[in-house]
Amino acid sequence: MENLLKVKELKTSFQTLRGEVTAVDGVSFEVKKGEILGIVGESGCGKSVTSQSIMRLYNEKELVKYEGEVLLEGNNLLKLSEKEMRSVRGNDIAMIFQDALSSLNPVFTIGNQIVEAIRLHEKISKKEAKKRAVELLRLTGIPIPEKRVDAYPHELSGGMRQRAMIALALSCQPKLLIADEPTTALDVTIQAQIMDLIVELNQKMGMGIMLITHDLGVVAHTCQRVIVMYLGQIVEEGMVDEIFKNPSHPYTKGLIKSVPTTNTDVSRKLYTIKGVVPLLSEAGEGCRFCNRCEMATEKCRTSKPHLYSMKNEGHRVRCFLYEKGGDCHEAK
Amino acid sequence: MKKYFFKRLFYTIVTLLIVSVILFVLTHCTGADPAKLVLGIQATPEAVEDLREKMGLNDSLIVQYFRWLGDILHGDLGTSYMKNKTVTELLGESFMPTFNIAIYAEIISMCIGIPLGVLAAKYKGKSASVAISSVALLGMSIPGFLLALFMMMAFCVKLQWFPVAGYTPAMEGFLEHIRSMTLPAIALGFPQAALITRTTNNAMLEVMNTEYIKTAKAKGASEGAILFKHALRNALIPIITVCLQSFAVFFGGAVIIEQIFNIPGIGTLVFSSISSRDYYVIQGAVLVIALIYVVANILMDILYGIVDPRIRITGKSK
Amino acid sequence: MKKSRKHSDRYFMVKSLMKNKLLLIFAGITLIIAIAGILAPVIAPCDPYLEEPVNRLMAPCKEHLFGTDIYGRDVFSRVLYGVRLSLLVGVMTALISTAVGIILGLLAGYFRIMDAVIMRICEALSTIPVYLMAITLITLWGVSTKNVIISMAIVYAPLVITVTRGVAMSIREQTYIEAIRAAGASWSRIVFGHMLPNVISPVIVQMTYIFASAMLVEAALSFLGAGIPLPEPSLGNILNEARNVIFSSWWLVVFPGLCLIFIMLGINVLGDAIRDVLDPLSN
Repeated sequence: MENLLKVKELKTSFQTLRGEVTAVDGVSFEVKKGEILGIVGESGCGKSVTSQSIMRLYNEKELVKYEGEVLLEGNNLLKLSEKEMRSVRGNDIAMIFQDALSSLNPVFTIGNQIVEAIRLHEKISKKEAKKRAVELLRLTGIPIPEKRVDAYPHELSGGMRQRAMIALALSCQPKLLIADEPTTALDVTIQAQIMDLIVELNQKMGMGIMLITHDLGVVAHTCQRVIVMYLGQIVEEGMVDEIFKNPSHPYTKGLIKSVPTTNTDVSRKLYTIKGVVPLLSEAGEGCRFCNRCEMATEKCRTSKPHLYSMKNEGHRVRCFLYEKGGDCHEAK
Repeated sequence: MKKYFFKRLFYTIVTLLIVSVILFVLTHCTGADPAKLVLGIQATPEAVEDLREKMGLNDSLIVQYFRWLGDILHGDLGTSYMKNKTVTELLGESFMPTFNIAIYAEIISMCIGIPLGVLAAKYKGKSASVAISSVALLGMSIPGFLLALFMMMAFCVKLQWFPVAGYTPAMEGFLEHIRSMTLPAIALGFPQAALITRTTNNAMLEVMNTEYIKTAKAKGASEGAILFKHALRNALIPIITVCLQSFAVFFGGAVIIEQIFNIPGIGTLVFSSISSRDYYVIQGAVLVIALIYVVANILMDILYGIVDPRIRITGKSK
Repeated sequence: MKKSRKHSDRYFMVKSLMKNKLLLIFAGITLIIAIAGILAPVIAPCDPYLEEPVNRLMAPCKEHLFGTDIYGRDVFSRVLYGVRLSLLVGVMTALISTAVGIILGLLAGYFRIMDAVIMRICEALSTIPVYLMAITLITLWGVSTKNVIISMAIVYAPLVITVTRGVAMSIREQTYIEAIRAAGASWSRIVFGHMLPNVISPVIVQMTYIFASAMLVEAALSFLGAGIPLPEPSLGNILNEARNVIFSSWWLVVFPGLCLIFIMLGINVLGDAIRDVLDPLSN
């Protein structure tokens, strides 16, 4: 399949009171046309920063510095002027945020906000745009869209709001949709509905989707490929089946083991990865995971591992265990 | 909504009643005898006693208070001891000058404050923003009466652009009216302009950090649209608050500025009445100013509801 | 790198404030003026009350740095004493209104019955503009430094009461207060042990504001002749006595005026800095 988005050695650093902090450190991956790519990791691992760097949402005048390349159909977004970038945002790439209540402007109606998004990129009348907004709301499964279009965000339920947010994102039929934890703030039953909607829209409209989540269950159900991130770096990458069947990085293994499933023996304690995600500024010389890793050696503490290719195509792991490539030697 | 409105009205009336009690107690517990003041030092004790009886000063304070309150409810604020006019007449004469200065000062402070506040938020961290906040800090630090003195020294005496003092009503020539109001309005409005700038800036900076601004940016909205459409609209509540409060502040600050520019407004009236212990005038004038403050607050509530749809709902549910 | 975790955000806030040159300059100038005012009895070259009619209305010169006033008194000495008096009024007003405000605010925040009464009165007081209230109180009680301070403390106490009560109420609603109350903690333990410590930061921010406004109002009132009684040198009084000669003798307005402006600037800058450090979230 053709590449839609190709990110090469992306590095995003912020200027803070405590000095410069690199939140995303040399991340490379691609999203193919029509594919759903999952990006997983604990909070603070750089998932959201990666997605917002792709759209260049941070204030570039003062606090952020981007390095590397973000190629959308071969066009480097990091080189575009602010004006050119504006015509990309919302038009070619759109974004769904975590909490629809705080992400929708409270003082404008849903319809108003969708109409604005449409008219920013297309020259059509307000009336036509509003008709489109109603259609979009219908498409995302909002009942009585003719009425809801004039509602304020706070007048809708959580699930409806997230649907409206999705309608807003789809308003210009983007080529790439970035969904940043789209279901975290919702009830479990509604979560499933929203995820189904996203998959359905992906099949209907054929756009590429970057799904950012910390929920491995969601990834297993919806994505074709997955990237596991830890402290601003990719630690493992591969097809979903491959990763779930044969997780290789100790961190991925831990993540998968710590998901509760119905066939787990209840008497056994749920697995946890020891420790917490350290601060970015505390990343040491060696592998960033070594302090929490059960298999860490002296080498892990002193030198940095690269991404090593595994036997199956597209499966890559950042761990010295696989330095020689090929099959992994299980520790236990 | 109706219930909320009546509740609000009830509290307003209670507040005004408490104000009236405070005023009454303050003015009547000073020990000075208005009858003596009216008659002068040479008055005989008999004459003073006679006048006291006539003025009702020999009744108990509670009786006096309720008599005064009853008169107010009939629209009678009492009669001045010194000026042989009713308080309503005096207030009517002096209301317009003060109201004019306050309106002009409000226009000046809003026209300067809001745009500068937005600009300072736009250029956050840059020299333009530092310059604006420094000027705002300076504006907040210059007392209005000093600004008035400095401006008089520069514009009235050296350059002779404006009259040194006095008031020309709008009816007697609009240009002269504006000329006589310019400096007082600036002296009154500039410190508030600084306050509005800072409030606008803070409110904007807070709003600019919200998620929906990120959404607007992700839609591809331009910086101007983000600032003026999405952010300013959401930052309006604190801005409305500070603007309407400043209107009440202008009525209070007028006491000083009117003295300097010799304007026959409410401030001058109160000031002269305080020194002559003209109880009814002080009470009436301060009550009117308190009423303006209360009305400004109610207006503020109504505007909140117009600006923010979420408040409309809570208003209803209350 | 590891070191950074030992310091709190507050430490970094202070550190970044120290880098702000403008702030340091203003703070420095204000500090110099304030110290000069405090040390007025030591450094003033002349007696601020000494009248030398021969030397009346002299422009600034070597003997009289800021010139002389209509009675031939040395303006430099009078300004120094004036700064001293203004600072005194500001500090005393801030202290008294804060003390009264915290006590009443805590009572209102803890006892629901007191809340209704105290807050209604505060609301009523806040409808009367500061200047009007202060002028009324001072003229009715008679002009004296003591009355200026007391009447301004009355004017500003409602501010502190409102802030204190807000914080106290929000703490009263917290679950842990309910828990310790259930465990038998007395009201004084809750009020002084849990509410008071949380009230301090926001009240300090209010205090700087009151300090600045009180000095400003005092100057304005004295300027109108309704503040500090006359021969006493306060910044407002110096301006008041100059009212008739303002246009010919600029030094009588400019020097005390600039002093007042610089002090206000310094306090405002300081107030901002305190707010940033005590309440980093507001930034």
